[in-house]
Amino acid sequence: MQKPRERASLKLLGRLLRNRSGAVGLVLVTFYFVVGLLGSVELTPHPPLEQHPRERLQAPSATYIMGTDLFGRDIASRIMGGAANSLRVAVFSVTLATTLGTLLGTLSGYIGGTVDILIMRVMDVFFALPALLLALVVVSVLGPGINNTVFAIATVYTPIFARVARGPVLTVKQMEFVLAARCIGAQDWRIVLRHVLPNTLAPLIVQISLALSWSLLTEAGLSFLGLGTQPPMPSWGVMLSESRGIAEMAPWLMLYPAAAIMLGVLGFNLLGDGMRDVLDPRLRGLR
Amino acid sequence: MLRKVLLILVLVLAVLSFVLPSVAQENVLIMARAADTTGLDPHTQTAFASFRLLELIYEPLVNLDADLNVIPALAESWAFNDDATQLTLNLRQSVTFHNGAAFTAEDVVATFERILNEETGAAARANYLSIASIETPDEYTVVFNLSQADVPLLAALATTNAAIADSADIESGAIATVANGTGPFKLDSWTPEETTMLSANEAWWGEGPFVSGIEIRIIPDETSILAALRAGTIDFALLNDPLVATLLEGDQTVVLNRVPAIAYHVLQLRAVDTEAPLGELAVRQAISCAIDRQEVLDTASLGEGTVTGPLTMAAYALDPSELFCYEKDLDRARELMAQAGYEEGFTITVIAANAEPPTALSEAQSIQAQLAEINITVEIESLELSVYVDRWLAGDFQAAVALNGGRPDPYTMYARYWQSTGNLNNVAGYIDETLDELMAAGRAETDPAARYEIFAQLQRHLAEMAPWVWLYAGYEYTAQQPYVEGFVPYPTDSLISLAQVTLNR
Repeated sequence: MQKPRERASLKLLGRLLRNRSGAVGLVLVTFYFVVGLLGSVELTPHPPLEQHPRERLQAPSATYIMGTDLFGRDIASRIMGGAANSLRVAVFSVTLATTLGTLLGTLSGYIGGTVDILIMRVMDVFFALPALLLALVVVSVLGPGINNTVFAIATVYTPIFARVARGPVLTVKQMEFVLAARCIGAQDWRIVLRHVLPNTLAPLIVQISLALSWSLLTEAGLSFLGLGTQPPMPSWGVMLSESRGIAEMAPWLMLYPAAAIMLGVLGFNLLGDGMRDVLDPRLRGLR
Repeated sequence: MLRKVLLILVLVLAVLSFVLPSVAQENVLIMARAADTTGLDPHTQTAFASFRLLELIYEPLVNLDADLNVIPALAESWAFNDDATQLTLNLRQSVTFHNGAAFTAEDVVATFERILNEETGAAARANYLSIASIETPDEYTVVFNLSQADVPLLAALATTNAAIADSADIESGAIATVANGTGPFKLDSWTPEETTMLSANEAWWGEGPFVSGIEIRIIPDETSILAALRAGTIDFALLNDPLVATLLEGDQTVVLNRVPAIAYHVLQLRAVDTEAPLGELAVRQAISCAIDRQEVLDTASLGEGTVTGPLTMAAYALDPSELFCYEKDLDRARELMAQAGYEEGFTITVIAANAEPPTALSEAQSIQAQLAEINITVEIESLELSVYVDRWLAGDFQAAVALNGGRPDPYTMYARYWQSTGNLNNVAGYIDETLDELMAAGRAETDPAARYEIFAQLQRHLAEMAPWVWLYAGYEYTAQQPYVEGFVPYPTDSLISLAQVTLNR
């Protein structure tokens, strides 16, 4: 039973690897996940929170490959801890946003009428506000902290998923196979789950990859402003903000977290681009 | 976001000042700082940033010099009677306010009546409560009759919070919106969070000012101030962040002025908080013994400062080594924890303001790591400054990392915290009869040697009872171009010597 589907996903992976941006993105994202997983099980060179007061502000060396910060904490370990932290925030918030957004978008598209108008106008209101600003509002109302950061990021990106899900639903629900399913008496939930949703999957997957990059960036931004992850927990945004005053004296404090953020965001974006190319039937065969 | 917009605005203004040559004047001192004044009423301001502007415009009766001695300002001379219950001040003659009105004893009376009126909400009111009545035998003499002996009153007068205002402004209420003082500079315009323009008061009684005016620019990010100094677009700057200031050490083109501050960094423990174990003397002592103060200083301020006891001013400071547990002693700390029955430790929450002082979060993290060694789990709650101040004033915290301002006199500095009647006693969260007695004795004592002994005893007692853990005193920083001559840095961070500055470009 599973065979054809397995073969299909392998084929997809092969196509992705042949796509240049997809391949680079996949490598970066895999690296990021590996580092993040190592960080989350604390397989770091040093404990990320351990202070070595006698060895503060050390330049990169054999013991501390990325140097140490003001407290003598190992930057490399903190980068790994930060990867775990941003991974956690990104995965939870995007899962939340995807579930909620897809649900709302599908309902909206499938039921139509007043429900559609109501849901989509509310989404439009959220859309009208710049993402980081909206996240700032949510966090300042709820208070800083990692759970609230997850919630804020999810709030910001839910409307995008609602919109992305609604479009294909509108097309798919008019198609003959859906009408056929309805004619033989299939219930609405069955139609949505078995026939409509699978056909909206492609754009959603692309969107998920892009949303992961945004949420990574938003988490870093909020933490930089002191509203996301709280010190001493490692977060790339917190590390950047701590380095700000002394970047001139100790440039490695700024360099590594900045590079980590850049590569992480780049990875998810390239992966998203690659997936879009691969999954979009109109582009197929062009490359 | 707002900061960014402001920064852009300031940059645009800076560019405009190049484009429009008429705007840039030769003899105007251009100064930058990160925070703006929060208002123009000298009596109600509490922010350091407000004092730095208003002390150029307004003057108190007496001032402090760079060694914290009381020197004449609007009063030329003064004398206490023998039992320190009456203070007579002889006022400077032919002084005028910026609006041309003459300065007389009437203005002094109006000012102190306003400050003592509870409805005004004057910031320093508590320091003048001993004033029972004010007499004016003639136009240039003022006599304060005191309800009790109060030696610290004289030094307490040396603050912008007791600056003398025009009695007409006080009557009309204009004092809140118009800056009409007797000081060396007049306020020409104030655009909040942007620029403030001051011009020289030619009629000032003192020597100077030698510049034709001062343009104060608000640049919220201190690293940008640093860049502006290096680029030569500003002449003078106030710096708060020691990490930024240290970048200027050894700089060939910009001069860094550094003076030991009397403001102190402190870990406040609220002993009255019954939910936390902090009510136990042994626990507080254990915390004091477990913290290596030098390490906090090295970590948070790169060693820019000195470890200090409760009193920071040179005349009263004690050698920290003679105070209780100023050497880190983990064995003793663990013993004390065991004695209190907390070998297993406990959890406390420490509040710290987000960026004010810039070192607060680093201090909290260093303390967190050190207290973990005696099983105390510290949770850091970082708060926006305004939220932090509200909760601090309400006593709504277990422990706090704070930077508190110092005063030249120990009584004025601590009466508000350590007297059970003090207006900030609830913030200090600790009541102790010994402290009340020592405070009262120090207030009435006129002999300097005896006062020193009283306050030495106070410091030893405070360090041993450990309601707070005093950490260190940093430096006050200003930075300037080499052609700015004659500036004297003050331990109070006061800018009054800007009146004597010359520009030799």
